[in-house]
Amino acid sequence: MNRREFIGSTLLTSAAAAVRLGAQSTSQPTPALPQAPGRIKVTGMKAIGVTWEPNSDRPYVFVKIETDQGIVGWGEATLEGKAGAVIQTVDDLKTFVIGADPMRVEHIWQDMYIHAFYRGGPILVSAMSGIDQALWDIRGKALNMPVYRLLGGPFDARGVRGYYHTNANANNPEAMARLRESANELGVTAFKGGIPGYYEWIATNDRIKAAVTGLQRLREGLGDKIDIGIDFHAKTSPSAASIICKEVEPLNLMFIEEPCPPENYEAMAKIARRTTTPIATGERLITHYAVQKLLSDGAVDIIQTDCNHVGGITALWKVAAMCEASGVLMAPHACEGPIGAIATLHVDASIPNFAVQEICSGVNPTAKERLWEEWMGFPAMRMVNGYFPLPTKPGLGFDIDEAKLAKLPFQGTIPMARPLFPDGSVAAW
Amino acid sequence: MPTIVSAKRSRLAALAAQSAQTAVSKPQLPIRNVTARAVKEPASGRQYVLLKIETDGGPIGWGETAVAMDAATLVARLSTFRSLVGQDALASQAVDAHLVRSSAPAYARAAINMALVDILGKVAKAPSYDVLAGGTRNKARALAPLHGTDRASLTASLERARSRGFRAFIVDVQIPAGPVRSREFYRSHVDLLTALRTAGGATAEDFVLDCAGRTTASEGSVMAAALESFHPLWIDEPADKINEEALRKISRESVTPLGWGRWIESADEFQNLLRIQAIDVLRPDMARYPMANIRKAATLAEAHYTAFAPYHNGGPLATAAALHIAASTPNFVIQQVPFPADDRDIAMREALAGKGLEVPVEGYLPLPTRPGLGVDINEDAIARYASA
Repeated sequence: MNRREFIGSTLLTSAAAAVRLGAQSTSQPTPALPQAPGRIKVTGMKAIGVTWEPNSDRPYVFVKIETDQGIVGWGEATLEGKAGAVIQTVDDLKTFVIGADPMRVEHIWQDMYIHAFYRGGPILVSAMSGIDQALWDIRGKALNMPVYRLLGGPFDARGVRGYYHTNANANNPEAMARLRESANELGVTAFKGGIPGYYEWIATNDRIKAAVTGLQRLREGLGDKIDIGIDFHAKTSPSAASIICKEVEPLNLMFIEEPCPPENYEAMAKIARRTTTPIATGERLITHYAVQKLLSDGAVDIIQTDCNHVGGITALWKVAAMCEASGVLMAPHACEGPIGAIATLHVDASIPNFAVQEICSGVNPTAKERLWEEWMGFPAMRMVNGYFPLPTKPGLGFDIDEAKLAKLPFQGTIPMARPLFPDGSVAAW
Repeated sequence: MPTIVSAKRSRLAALAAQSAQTAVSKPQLPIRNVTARAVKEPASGRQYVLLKIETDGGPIGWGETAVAMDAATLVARLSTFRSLVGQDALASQAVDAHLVRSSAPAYARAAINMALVDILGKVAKAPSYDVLAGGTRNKARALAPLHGTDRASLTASLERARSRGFRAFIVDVQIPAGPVRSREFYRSHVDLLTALRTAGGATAEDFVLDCAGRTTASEGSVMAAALESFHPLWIDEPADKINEEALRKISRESVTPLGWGRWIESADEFQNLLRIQAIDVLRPDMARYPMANIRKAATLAEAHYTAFAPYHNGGPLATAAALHIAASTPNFVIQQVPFPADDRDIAMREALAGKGLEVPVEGYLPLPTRPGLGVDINEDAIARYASA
């Protein structure tokens, strides 16, 4: 008798004593929710790894789900440095999806999560995220509506307000002038930058001054009308971050992101309490359950969960609902492929506490953005007058050319950057 | 119980406003007209208001609300929402944001949101639960109120509800005359519920005690403790004041589950109840909180591992709406259904919304199957039962 059988038999023999809600609910759970006849059914699912750049730490992992009614759904499960594991996990999850009714997205989500027993973690939930997005794509197509309509949106006909990354050197006035000019031409109203180098547990005067001066020059270069978010990328300790956050208060930044690593909420809360600069975090949080403590600790002003890691559209919407009740805004992370980013737009367009949407691109398209356009047939995740236009077609609102993906087959996993301090110990980047 | 809103967070409000203020310039399905009619049950006198939203070339949506206000005033107030004309019936969240900005009361937002959820499902040609998140259950457990003030009448009421198909029941606390709460007050409730459980038999033995805010926190706490070994599903609203101290006191002094929420009209209040770990069953009222917000409140509860069972004391349309929420919400446990004490009221509810909607099978209500909320409101019946 294995452990599960043992537990099952114990329940059966002590049914009268079991905690229960009602007489009917003591019946044994069925393996799957019965299907009503004539309902749409999933017939196939696969993960497609796309090595779009030989040295990228994030080959895209796309999920394709097929149904018996010809409707196909696409989602994204890209997980930096763990592509192989996620592809395998999507395969492991076939049992939960093939044969199921794709309209039941909440049910399938709960089934994959609760019946994993070992809940959460980025690998499982990134795989779930890709599946969830593909199911929402199917749901929208089956109901003949863009997904944001199913969620009660949109709020704004212009689309979703966004920001690009600034890769210009803040210490180079000409580069800053060019960036500002591009922003004006394109109508871009917000940017995100970073702080240079690596920071030890206690930062030296020299490092602090370099960071603060860089941010001052960024503000001067972009002017007062552009919103600026700054990503510390959790490479600062709470001690170092508190000092820099305090020093840059006069710059009225839109937010400072991940001023310390995300696991310790009290540390994040300590930084947040010491500054009036809004604190943003959350791109590494897995599921809406992980957001609760951050909110109740008052440790955060803007949440940035990622549609490809938090649990897809289902969990991202739930995160937004939880933040709404606490007066916290949403600025979701989007730094993988185009499918997850577009899925995110649908949530953004439907929530009252949306702030601004990221895309890890600059003002000028590169090979990556051209590739996205080639796959999707439109300039995916490029802003028009500072807004990402909303898809108008049913589902997530795009068709992807699978033959073009097949030209860039999966070449294996590459880890993320692995920097070291001068003394040889491990640095965050 | 203040919500954590720092100065920097209020400054951020401008950031959200920048992204959310602009109305959709070209509505896909403009609202054409908004009208409200009140109806009244002939025996109980219970009133509710049905809100009708017509669209330009699209389906009609129906919503419902019921609050303690005279029907004429309620209808008049709901009729002021003709400012919705021209807005996009398919963008219910944007419409709700407009209502929030214009300080619309929660009951109006509830009725309007329900009607827009109905419209969206009809446009999608699917039951609303399929639009919301799909069904995570095939049927929804039902909870019926028992009517009466003594053991005999309550037992008769239980028999009637049981024969209708209900298997779980909510019983009003019996407040004695006079100010003194003796030991008898608590013991009589244990005895009463025990007798009802015996009468219900093995398949109908689950009860909620509804204190309805009519006991003090101290009395509620003693009652909760007295009922611990009876194992009610929960006791509802066991204090006349919802403040942090009262809620903490009751939840710390016993392990009987506690239900709260029928009076609450804002997400931050639900959030605070959950945050202080004083609640076991979150109970937003179908009549005073929009469907979309009820689903969001359920999400707050889910993240706190807390059950969710909407309160409902209105008409049959809100029962249908509740079933769509129940179907698509993982932490749902049971739906209160205002099963009337008098057959004439049942006849009215069936005339309004059709037969079968509020008839459980072995304790469970079937899910609606037709598009939208799945209810064809009979306008002749509205006229017939119009509130004077």
